[in-house]
Amino acid sequence: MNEFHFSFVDLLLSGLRLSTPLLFAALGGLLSERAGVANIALEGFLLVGAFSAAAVTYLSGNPWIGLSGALAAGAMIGLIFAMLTVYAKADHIVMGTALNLFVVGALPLFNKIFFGVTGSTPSLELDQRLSVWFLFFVAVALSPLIWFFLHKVPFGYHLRSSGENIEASKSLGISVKRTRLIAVILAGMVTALGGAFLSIAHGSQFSRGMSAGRGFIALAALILAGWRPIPVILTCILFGLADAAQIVLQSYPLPDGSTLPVQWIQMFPYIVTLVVLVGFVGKTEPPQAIAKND
Amino acid sequence: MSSLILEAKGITKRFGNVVANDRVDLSIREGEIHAIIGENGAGKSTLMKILYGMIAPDEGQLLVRGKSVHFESPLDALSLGIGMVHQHFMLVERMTVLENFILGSEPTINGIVDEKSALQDLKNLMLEAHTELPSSSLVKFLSVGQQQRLEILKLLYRKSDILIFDEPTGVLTPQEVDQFLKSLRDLKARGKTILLITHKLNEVMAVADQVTVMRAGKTVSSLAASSTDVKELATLLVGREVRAFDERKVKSVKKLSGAPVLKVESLSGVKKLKSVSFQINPGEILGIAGIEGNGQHELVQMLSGVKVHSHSQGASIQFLNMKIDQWNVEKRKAAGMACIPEDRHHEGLILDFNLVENFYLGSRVHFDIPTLLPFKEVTALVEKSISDFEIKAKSPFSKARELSGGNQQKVIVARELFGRPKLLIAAQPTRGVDIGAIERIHDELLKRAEEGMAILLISSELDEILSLSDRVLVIRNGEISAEFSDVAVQGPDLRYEIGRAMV
Amino acid sequence: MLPFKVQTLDTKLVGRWYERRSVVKKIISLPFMVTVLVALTAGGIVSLLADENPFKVYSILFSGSFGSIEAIGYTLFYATPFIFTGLAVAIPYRVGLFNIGAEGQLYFAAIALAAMAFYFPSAGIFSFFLAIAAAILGGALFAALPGIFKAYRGSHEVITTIMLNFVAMSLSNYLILYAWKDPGSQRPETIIFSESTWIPLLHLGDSPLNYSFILALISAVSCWFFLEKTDLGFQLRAVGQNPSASKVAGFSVKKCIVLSMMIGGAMASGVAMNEILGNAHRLRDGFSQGYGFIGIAVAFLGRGNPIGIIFSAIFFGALYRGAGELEIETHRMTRDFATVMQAIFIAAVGCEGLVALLLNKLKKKKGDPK
Repeated sequence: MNEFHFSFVDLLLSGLRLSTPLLFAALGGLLSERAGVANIALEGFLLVGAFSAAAVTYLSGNPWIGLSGALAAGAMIGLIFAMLTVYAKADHIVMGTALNLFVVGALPLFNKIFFGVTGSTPSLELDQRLSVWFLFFVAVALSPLIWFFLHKVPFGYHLRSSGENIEASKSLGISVKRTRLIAVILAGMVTALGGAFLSIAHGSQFSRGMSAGRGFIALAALILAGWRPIPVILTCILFGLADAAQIVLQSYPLPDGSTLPVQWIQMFPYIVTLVVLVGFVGKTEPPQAIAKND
Repeated sequence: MSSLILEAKGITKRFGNVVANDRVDLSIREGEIHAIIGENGAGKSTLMKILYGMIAPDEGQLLVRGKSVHFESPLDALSLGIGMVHQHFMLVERMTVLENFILGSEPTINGIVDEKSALQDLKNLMLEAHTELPSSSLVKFLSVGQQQRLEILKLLYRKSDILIFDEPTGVLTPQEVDQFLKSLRDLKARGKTILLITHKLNEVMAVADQVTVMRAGKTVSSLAASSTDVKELATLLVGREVRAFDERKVKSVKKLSGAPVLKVESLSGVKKLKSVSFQINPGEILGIAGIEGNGQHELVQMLSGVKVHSHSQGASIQFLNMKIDQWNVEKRKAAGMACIPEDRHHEGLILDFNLVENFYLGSRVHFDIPTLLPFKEVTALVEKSISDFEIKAKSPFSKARELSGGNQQKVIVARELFGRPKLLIAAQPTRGVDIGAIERIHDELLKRAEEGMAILLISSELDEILSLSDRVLVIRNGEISAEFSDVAVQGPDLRYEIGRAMV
Repeated sequence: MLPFKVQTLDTKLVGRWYERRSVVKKIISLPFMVTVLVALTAGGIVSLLADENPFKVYSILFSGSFGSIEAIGYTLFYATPFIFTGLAVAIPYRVGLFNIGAEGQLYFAAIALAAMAFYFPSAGIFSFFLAIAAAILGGALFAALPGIFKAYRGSHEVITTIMLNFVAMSLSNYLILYAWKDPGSQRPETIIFSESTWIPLLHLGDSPLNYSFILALISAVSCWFFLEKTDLGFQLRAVGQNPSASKVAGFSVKKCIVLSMMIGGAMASGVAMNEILGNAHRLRDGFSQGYGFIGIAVAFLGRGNPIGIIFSAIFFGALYRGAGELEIETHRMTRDFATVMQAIFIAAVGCEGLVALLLNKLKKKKGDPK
């Protein structure tokens, strides 16, 4: 370990890589929440994306088919979440919790049905994996695209108005339910790409709980960015860097030869978020019709 | 006579056991301003929602330009040229004026919103309507009057020629009301048909061609505005002779004695209030007149203790000779202050609590402060209030939400008067309340004042101020701009003098 | 005077009867029954997907959780943390706060408790009370943080509690691995604490059910009493329903926010007592299997009512216990099935409104002569 050289560039690159799943999830959350559907199910969306990408890639041998599989599964889980929240009019937060639980329980069951074990999908070959940087750039390119979509396309207008004022939207003939349904399906697809990043680009298999709370961190990044698609790039990179720092610093020897306990470093990004949120941001203004049902 | 453009025949709508519209008939001629008046709960809003396709009637028929129509959603009404300006504006506050203008009917080029042509349309319409709005500003930064004009522009953009206005002037300042009534005449001149739902009879007389009166879910009569007057309309409205607002019960100057109950000196707030001073004597009703939003809300908050003022020079609030500046709400209440807050749903009641809990909410300090809730005692008190104030409620355990506005307000009045306060701050005590409840509440206030309670009456209804107050202060931009004493013996000119001091 | 009194008495009785009836009706309503049926069917479909007979699955679940005294003991043992975390979510929820931080709070309570047990092991009964007090205080203070952030800075509690969860878990992980590690154990856990701090067992078979369960019941009933019958509880409910009206009435919204979070945190600390003082007698890494998050589901299923939470926690406990049996007695069903069933039940109950609506429409159609 003594030969280990702390490299700032490595840290930066690693941080950018690790911000990718956060950015996908945060953008998914943005689509859903700007349309008025509070989404703490991002964690579940990520896991679904990760599992389906890995499973389909393994079965087909082609990561692009795997990626399509993740998109399809993401759309599916988005559809389910939208049916529960938008059409069955259940509480968004409670349904998000239920969906997360369901995914956490059901994926190992599926895994066992398909692959005989509950823990993880079979490992992928190197050539069956996608480039990390490719997905990073997709995520970054998606942000301005979503901004454009929200501000320059009629459906984007409807999406925002559905998240801000249900009555007003309805009075103008906008179907809030349909708009939200589509928004949440899109959210599922975008977030699933983040899951695919974890299992077929950054990693080589799906494993239990591999999202490791990233859905929640993405939510924090989204709130910190004030639900805006461009600033969210920055907040996600911030969390990605913090994540990378913890990995890099773990093996970085202190002057006395010991290493910093990993737990202290793990706490670091969360404490930073708290300080930023409580100290500087204070009250955030969410979309006004969020979590309200039509 | 021009042709009928919109007709309703035998419209019936039930909500559970309540019949909101009972075989309602309505005929609107093209190009007229048609007012629909009625008390709260008379069924006006339901009828309008049916005309606009927001709810479907259980029975009856709608005809537009002679053709029977069936609305599935507002979209159907919009496509037939029916547009509506709702009482609560249908604007998205965090979208821009331009975005709101085209929302739901966006012009596009290759699937992308054509902002250029939208902006051109907005500018053209603003020019026609002699109005100017900042197109790229967020709607939340517009004044209420500007928001209303944006709503009208939205309808014009959608080529609506039947415009429905639901209680349009309730939120406007008098100048804005004038401007609004003028724009109604403009719209009429341009061939639009206008439906005006309101309970302000003066406005009806000022602009309407035809008036339809609704009572208890039925259309009572429909008459030409030129052949009727306010008095007749008021009688039709309630179904019996009513005491008009400007007829005072007490017509003599009160002899006031004793030390002042409340003495306010150069009180300033954070937002609006600037160096306000006045005092109230026992038994006196001091009216605070003024256009809403001129500091009344902050005044109420600071007097009741919801907000405590920062130490500004010379500022003091004295209540019964005690300096109470830094006292909190409960301490002030215990000392004998009570407050009817301005917005009963937002500040006065908890709608999902029952009447017992709501009574306790505001009268809590009058029980020896309990660790356990004294609900047995409170239940008996609510029972008594229900019979004293003729509150229509199934039981003391009914939720506040289940009561009509007038009955909700009576609950608040009963609660606040329960502790026999020395001073009552009554902010908009009869807003949105039916005439019967207004009379009941006014009588109670007058009775209590006779018994020596001081009342600070804050109201945007000048009629209410004039019919109750002994003395009137006018508040403008957070300052007292005029004072009028001996209101009881002043002539009719007083109304105009007060009005002048308001603007 | 007399007629007035008689009248009061009558309506009061009627009122009480009406209230009670509505509560019972809410719980055992037709829509609720249908909902449960739907959930069971959905769970059955999942077991069919896994190629297992759903009836067999359900009968194993049932006999595993209620089939013997010992099974019941286990079920109630698992239910204990759920009662605590259900309350930890429900009390702040009544003030309008969404406490996702029960997990962090119970970890922090465990740290405080373990610290006392670790550093003051030999003070006899005093050690025991010291540990309990430290746990309650630790949970309450740790929960006060997001409350204060919310009340004074407007920071959204969902985000701050999520952040604090990670902080508390990392901290406990650090202490277990570095400061308090049992050198004789291969696993990440502290040494066994002094026997004087142990909470006695209730001896239901060989189950680890201990007096923490009784404490949980007492806590739930106390919470109910506090909310419904005391002045302070009334203030909390009022603030939750309408903060601005509460301000006008003179209540301190900030105080209620912080207080409700502190009560929630204190409730979460019960998990630490059950797991550490009642069962393992040491602090183990990962001793809470997401109990804080399951508390959200428990609170929801119990409709935010402390008494309802007892029942929903027992239901969740039964699923937990029964699922353990599933893993042993079937080929393809694992513990995960319990998690799936929990999710399905929450989703189903969440959609009860829809079921009620559909039933109403059905009724109308039948009643309609046309």
